[in-house]
Amino acid sequence: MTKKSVVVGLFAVLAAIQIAAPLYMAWRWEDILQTGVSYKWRTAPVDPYDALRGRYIDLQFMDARGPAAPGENFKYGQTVYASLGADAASFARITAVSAAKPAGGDYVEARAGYYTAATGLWTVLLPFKRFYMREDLAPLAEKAYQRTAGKDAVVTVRIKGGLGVIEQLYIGDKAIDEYLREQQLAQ
Amino acid sequence: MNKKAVAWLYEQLPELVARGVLPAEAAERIRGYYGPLPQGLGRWTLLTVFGFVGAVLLGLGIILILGHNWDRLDHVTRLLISLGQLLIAQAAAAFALVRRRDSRAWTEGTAAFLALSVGACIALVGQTYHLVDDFKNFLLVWMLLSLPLVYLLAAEGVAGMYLLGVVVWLASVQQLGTVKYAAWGLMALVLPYYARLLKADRYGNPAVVMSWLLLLCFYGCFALTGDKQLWRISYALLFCATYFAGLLWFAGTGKGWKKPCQVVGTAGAVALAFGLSFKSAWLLRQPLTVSREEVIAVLGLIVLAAGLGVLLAKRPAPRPGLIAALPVAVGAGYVLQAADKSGVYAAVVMSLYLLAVSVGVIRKGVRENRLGLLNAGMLMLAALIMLRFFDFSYSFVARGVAFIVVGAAFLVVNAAMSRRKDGGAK
Repeated sequence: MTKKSVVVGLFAVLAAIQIAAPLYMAWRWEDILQTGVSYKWRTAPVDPYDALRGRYIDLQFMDARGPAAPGENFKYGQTVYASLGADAASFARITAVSAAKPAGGDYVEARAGYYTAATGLWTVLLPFKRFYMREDLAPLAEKAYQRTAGKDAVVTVRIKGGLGVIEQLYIGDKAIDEYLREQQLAQ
Repeated sequence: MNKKAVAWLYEQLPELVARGVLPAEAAERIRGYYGPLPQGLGRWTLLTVFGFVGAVLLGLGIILILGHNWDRLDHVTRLLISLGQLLIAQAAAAFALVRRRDSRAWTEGTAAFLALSVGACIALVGQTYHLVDDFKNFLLVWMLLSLPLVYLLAAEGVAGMYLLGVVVWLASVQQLGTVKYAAWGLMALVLPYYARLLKADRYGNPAVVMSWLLLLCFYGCFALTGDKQLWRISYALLFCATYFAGLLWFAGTGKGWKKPCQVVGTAGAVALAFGLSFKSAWLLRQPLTVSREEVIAVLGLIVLAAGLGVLLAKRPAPRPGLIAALPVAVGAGYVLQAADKSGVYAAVVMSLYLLAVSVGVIRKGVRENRLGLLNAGMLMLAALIMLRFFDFSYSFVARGVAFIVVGAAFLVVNAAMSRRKDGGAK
């Protein structure tokens, strides 16, 4: 085999890996989106900017806090596992925060935030907090949220195997893009 | 070797093979016999630069267009679009590899375009699934998927992008403890390519540009890893070692920019000395708590600088000059600072060191009749005088006395030198 054909062969291997990497990533997240358990979170969106992936809304979750599992303590930024449940209004609730993977039930891998002595709860930095939007719609979404006085922005997240993927952001009972289009039509 | 003749032969080879005049194996053997062309200015042409810049702009344009977020497109369509642009970039790179391997413009341009396309493709997946905490992983995957292009297509531009990516990755993992030390390993992955460039022609433009990139990446990694309680002596030793390495292995008679080690070593040493000539640079806000690892690192730097110094001493020329004295001056500063916490003595030592360097440079400039060197020395001296004149951390009287003493010393030396000269003339 000549040197050139070795180089071309190696290039073919590299090209296959370059294609496989994004395909694997897409498959993994699509699988969660299709087969994961859906949770609703109350959220507050703001609008920053990512030069590589475009405009997104930064989601700040209202109920991203929970009690530590018995006898556990965490450092800020440490990897933790937040066990999930739902409250009476079927919104997501963190039932326990632990350093080890829970044996059963739905959970999400996150990072530990701060402990608040008054409530006895740990804030949890959830891994899904960006919602990418069309560049012209993202600032409008933030304004729309401000108009609703922060009461009814809700995001649905699919959870599977400790990972979560955002499914949709709702203002009231409407998906954000649908809501914004209606607002634009009304104006 | 007649470079032009070999270049012409290399241009002819693909056609000779295509027309059956020469079997492909023979063409390969010819390439193997003559080896890669020495990559001086002739190869690093405007064409290559334009090819590279054009490809980079094209890739960045695609990233921006995908960044718009085409929300009407479903997930599958988005994936197909991002894979499609990746496939086009791969096809262009494959064409360059098979048919235009001897054209630097083609290999550099298509490799850069492919590297950016890989980034765009992964970024679009992240955008589609609203991924967040993945920036460092995204960057790492992107860099590792691009790195082989450096070797397969001899793509220096991609090597530069990779090294920049390593530094940005390192900055993004600062909070993650020991993970950041992996940056040194990532940087080392381009060293075989660098060694290949050095072997071909260490003063050729590709090797020189790569030296600059590696040095900047090296200093980025050094700044962002490890404790820096002893930063003054660490940087002094490192600049000194860099300068020594330049004198040892890149002492050719090229222009200044072709000697990156000397430029970085000298400029860094002078900038550090100027910075440390301020009292405030020596003030300690809290007591020094030096870790064992940092002590080992500093000892390692001392051994490195001293080792290079010994190697240099065995050579006849050139001499390292006053840069070699910087770690000694900074070390003296530390000792004096132990006696006087305000940092006055340490700062004065650094000012005297700078004075000695300026005078040394001026003297060398005059002796060797080099106007550039003379001007550099004068500029340093002027900067030192201005900085100390306006340095309000010393009293007016102290500054006045110091200026008069140094000024008088200059005049005395001047008088002695002219007397000696007159004596010689008589």
